[in-house]
Amino acid sequence: MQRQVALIKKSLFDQGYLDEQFMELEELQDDANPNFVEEVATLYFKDSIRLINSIDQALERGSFDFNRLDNYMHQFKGSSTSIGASKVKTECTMFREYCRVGNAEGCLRIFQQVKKEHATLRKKLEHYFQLARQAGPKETARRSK
Amino acid sequence: MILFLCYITTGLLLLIRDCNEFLSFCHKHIFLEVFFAMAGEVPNLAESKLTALVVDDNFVNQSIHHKLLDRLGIKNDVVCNGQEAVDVHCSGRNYDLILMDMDMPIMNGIQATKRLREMGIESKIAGVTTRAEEEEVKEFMEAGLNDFQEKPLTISKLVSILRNLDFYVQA
Repeated sequence: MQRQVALIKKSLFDQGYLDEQFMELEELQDDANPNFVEEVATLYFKDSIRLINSIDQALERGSFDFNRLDNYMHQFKGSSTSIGASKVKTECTMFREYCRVGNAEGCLRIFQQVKKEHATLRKKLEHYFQLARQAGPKETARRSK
Repeated sequence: MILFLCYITTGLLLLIRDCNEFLSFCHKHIFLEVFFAMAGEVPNLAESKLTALVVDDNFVNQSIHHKLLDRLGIKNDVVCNGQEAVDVHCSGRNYDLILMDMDMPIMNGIQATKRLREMGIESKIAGVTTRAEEEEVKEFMEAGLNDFQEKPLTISKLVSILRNLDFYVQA
């Protein structure tokens, strides 16, 4: 089971979904907070879904307030960077570029990619954390405090 | 002949042992310093009784920065924007270190830093933000920061802040 967890984690890195920042978070796990990374990831997805909904609503209105859209995406990108969500971060960067040049069509198109990568990452991480919990504390708590 | 070779071998082994002990005696401390530096040993500053304030509107970053400080043994509080940072100081609280985000609602990091300095707050303030354009950093620094780090914050970046601000001197 632990080997399976390790393989899944490796594939998340190899396929570019996660970067070294995720490992930095894992280093913060200890006996006092053995599920720290999962807790942070849960916070991230809760917050990012709120931002996605806000951006969706703004885009559906049809009036492109690029400053507002950029502000939302700045927050989204910040959170994604903080947990090591590499592909999501890349798409966020591209969205902000389109905002910067005022390209509405580009924003719409890229935002679909942002949502797609976000949904994929969420599914994969949920699966990973579920297995990690089943595998036991060896895979989750990396150190004693 | 065999005895002679054994004698030489034993002598060499003793010499190596003595050299190792000598080197060990002289360089143990330096070796450990280098080893721990390379291994990224995380210092525990609990004995120093440092306190810190995390100022960030993003819940993910709040959680991470709180945990980073916790890991280094630094007791810390968290607030959501610059206004809350000012309010907490108005209530009489004081901190050795403030980790200040730049972009926040109500009162951003630049405004909050200026305000805290105007109030006479002498805490060390480190700006922590994703914005890294030279002009933006300059404006933030000129507001009254003591140090600056680009997000995402990591243990090594936080140790760097502590070192730059003389809170941590590596042995």
